[in-house]
Amino acid sequence: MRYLIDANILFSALYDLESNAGRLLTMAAEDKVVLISTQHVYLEMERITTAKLGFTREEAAEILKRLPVQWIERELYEDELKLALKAHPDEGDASLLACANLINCEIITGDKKLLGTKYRKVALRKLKETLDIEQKRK
Amino acid sequence: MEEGFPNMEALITRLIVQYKKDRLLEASKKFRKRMDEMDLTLEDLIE
Repeated sequence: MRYLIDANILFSALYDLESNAGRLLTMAAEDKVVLISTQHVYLEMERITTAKLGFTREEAAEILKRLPVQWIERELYEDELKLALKAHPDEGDASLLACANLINCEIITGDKKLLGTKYRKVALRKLKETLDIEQKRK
Repeated sequence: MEEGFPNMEALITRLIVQYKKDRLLEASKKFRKRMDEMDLTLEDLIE
């Protein structure tokens, strides 16, 4: 199964690999799930890791490239993003909505505002629910 | 063949998975160490 994930999930996993978010990323490293995110999320994470944690851009890139995530280039979802922004004003979250619609993929997030967003037929799910589903799939 | 692996492909797959997990662990350690050094919480990052 493949899922789109936001920066919060990725930061939570980096902070604690034993957490639910960490378990999900470990499953991706084991090829049990495919995790996808967007260039917007990548840049947001790069900005935060450099501005708040003091990493250089090169150090941030070294950390981010170790995540078992497929990053989608902005140009692939640019047109859809304009429409998604009408449903959700945050560009990072809207980029996930846009990609979810284009590639027919669920979004996993803990962001209540994003979870409450209606955009086309995009499905949004909490992390715990996803892990329960994956557990049953085994 | 290495004990426990039915063929070379299974062995290589296992090695790649372990490599990806090790890389993830390295990134997590570096990230966590810096957060602790700067006395930051997750909430400080994702506010």
